[in-house]
Amino acid sequence: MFLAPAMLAGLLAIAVPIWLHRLAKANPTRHPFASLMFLQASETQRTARRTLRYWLLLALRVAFLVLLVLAFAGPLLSPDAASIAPDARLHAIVVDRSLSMNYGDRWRRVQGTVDTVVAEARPGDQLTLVAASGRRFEVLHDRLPLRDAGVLRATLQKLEPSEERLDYGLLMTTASSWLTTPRLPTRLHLVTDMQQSASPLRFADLQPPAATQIHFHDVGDVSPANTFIAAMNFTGDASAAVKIGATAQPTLQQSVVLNVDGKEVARKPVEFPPRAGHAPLQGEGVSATPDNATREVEVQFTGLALADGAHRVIASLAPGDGFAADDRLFTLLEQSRPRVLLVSRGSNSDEAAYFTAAIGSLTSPRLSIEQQPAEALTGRRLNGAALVVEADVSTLTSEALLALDEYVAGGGSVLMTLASGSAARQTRLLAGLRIGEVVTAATRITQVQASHPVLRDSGDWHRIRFFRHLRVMAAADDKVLVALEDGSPLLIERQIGAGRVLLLAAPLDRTWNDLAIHPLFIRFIADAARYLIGQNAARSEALVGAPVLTGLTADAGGQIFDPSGKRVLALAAATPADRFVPTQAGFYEVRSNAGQRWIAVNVDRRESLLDRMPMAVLQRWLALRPQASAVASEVTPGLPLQRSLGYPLLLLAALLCLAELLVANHYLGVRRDARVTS
Amino acid sequence: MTLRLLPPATLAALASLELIARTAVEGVLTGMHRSPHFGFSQEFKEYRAYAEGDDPRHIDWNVYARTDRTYIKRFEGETNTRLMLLLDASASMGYGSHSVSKLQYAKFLAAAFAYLASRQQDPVGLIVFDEKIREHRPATSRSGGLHSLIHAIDNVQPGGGTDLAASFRGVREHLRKRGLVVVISDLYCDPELMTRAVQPLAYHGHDVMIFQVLDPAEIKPQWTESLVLEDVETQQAFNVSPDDIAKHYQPRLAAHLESLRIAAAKVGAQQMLVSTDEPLDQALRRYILFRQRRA
Repeated sequence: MFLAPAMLAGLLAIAVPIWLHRLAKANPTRHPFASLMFLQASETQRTARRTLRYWLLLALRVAFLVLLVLAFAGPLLSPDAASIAPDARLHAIVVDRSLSMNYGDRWRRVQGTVDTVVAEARPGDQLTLVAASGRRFEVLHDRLPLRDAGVLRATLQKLEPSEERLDYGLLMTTASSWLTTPRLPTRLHLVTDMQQSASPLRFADLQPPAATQIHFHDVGDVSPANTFIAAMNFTGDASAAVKIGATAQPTLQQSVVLNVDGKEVARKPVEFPPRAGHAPLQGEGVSATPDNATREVEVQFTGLALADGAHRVIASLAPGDGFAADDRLFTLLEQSRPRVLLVSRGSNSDEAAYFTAAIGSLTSPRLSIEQQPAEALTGRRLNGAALVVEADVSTLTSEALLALDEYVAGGGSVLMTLASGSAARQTRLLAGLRIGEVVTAATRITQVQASHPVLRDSGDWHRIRFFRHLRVMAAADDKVLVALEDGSPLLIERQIGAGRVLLLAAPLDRTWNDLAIHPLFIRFIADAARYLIGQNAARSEALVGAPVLTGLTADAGGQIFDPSGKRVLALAAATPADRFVPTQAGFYEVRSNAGQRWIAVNVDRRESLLDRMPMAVLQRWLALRPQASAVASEVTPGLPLQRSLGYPLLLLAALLCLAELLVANHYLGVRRDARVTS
Repeated sequence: MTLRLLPPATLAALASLELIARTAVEGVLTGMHRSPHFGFSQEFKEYRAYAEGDDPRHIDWNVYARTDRTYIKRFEGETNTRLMLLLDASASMGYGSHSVSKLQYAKFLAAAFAYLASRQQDPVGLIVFDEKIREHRPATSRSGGLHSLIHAIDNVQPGGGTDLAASFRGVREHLRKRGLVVVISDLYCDPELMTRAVQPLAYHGHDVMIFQVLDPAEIKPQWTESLVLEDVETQQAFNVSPDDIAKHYQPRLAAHLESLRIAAAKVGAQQMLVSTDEPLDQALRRYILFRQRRA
């Protein structure tokens, strides 16, 4: 039986090597010789040997083609046809390894549940074991005969819950791929705590794959009690708010401990109000949120006198409860605020308002904005500025331009816009740039270097409308990041001395363009500011199991260390790894040529919400009809299991191809060397 | 000494066959420091006392009758000896594993002999044959005869198969007067057949000299891999291997050469094997020394 019998027509290709061999036999390469009168006696023997060798090559070629065609035709084999009962089933046991399975003795219950499933399986049934957590669905055993159930149990004994979150939607939408086909009619045993927070956004994602029947094995608790750190926010220069959640009324008297850079700096008790009323909370600095199934309280910490720089802050509950994994929350606090000097015609100008709003939207890092009129700009003002935003270079005095030149050459960063009067300004910042006339024709952006950190996330530039623009020609060393329809650059990056300049070749003027009022403007200016002050777009906070941008590039290598100090990247992969997936909560350290930075990784707080799915939802899930089978032979009830031989045949064909190459090369070598060396 | 040798490939680069012959012959004669008249027939030169080992046929019995002493007559070149060149132009003669084919080498040899005879005013003729006689030029010593003869030699191209019996029957019809007959061929034939072909010439008093010209690849093939060989005369093809050549071909060739040598000796002819990679002047020198020993 074949999955694609039409592919067998490819067997006709066998005629090609046969024809070639006949052709080759009829026209061998001959070497003239004066007389063969002394060579007649041994001719028969030699011809026989030659024919035999060519037959070997022909046989290899024919066998290769046959195997290739068969592999694509997908032959199905029924090796255990005699042993498989007509009503045999595949039991796909999916074990939830998410963080919430650490709660109480859930994991122990998993072992017992799996034992029950195995015990209830009938002879002839097959077992598949899948460990599910995060985005990984690891098939640990695939279609084991029931007699090998001991192997499955041994594997389960070694398995432990992870710190990742499980999404039932992702689990079910990917089930068709990790449940290999063709297979027996399948019972998918989902051994899980039935967390409500694991539900997908779209209920339809829970649809089971074709010919698969779902069986829930709930190992959750009826009324689980869990207290956890939900969030932490720094509300001021020296204050923090820690939000604590609880799924039930805590019975344990707990405190919130604030730990900064490895030292405890504050501790406060937590008291949840009684569920029945909205009584005022006890204790200084404690406020309550509205009551619901999961209640939250917030604990305020003030007077945190932290030095400038990045601080690793851990908020934890002491003593911990039975579910310790979510009792700690890691975050990074950037204490210093880089100063941005915004130079504009006046504090009430439109462009000043646009820039202030965009830069002010940055939360990581937070920037302090100092606004200065163009005529007041001096070298002294520039000192200590992490970034200078120049709204219109044409408004600057000669002295201010000189000071700005020195500032950039010394390593400063400038974001500036050009206007029609910019061409007349003599400054190194514009050296080599040819600023032409104003083009009044409407145009749009056609080229965007989307891989640049400034433009990576800013969105659709092509929607911005330009009513007029400056005709600009970039210098040879300039990087044109954005260009208009006529090729005129809109955003240019220049390296001047140790500093860097981003030139926006259009004013933020509604009569010129609608850039300033476009949604992407805020993100663009924020990314540009972060880029220019040396804070790349790599995030400083992440969740376990979610990919994180490392900020490492092929040009500047680096290494990442996990919270226990072990290297995350293999040495060979250290250079190109621009992202990684953290597997545990804590602070990951990223070391690169650009310096050292930290990434605070936390477990997904949805795993802390231990409430189970309502029965009605479960019934709706069970009522979902399985997907229609995409492959005709995916499931054949009552028939013995048929295993596809495509892959081994393909492997064998590859080996034959190699053998054919060697044999053919040998013959070719004979012909190549067959010359007289007298 | 080596520098003075004339490799066939070097000679082949010369445009004129006459120039080739002249270069070879003059080089040989200069190198031997002897009279240029090393002819093909005998002319009295001197008497000397008979010594043991001398051929008794050369004893002058008249002198013996007069003096009662035995003297040997010594001879030198004599004019008016007819030289007839028999050039094999069969297809097998066109074979060559390097820049000079057997036929080309045979043409060098023929031209050199023609020039050698011409410079001592001996008449020279030419018969070109393969399965039959393709061209016949009677022996002549006329002025300008050498040029036309060498031109005829130069124009010879390899033809069909070889039939010594038929060809030599025709040759006999053209050779009325005795003289020296030089046969230049690769002699891919039955030795017995060659005996039958040459014997009548010897019986008619011709001095027959046979040059067997072979390519070095025929004498000692050096193929490193199996290959398909095609007979240039019959177009028959065999797949042969180096092992088979070492085991079968070379012993058979050696036996064939020995048979030819015996067959030639049986009819009073001389046979000389020449390889086409042998310098032409060296081959001529070998011939002259061979003739001197015979005298």
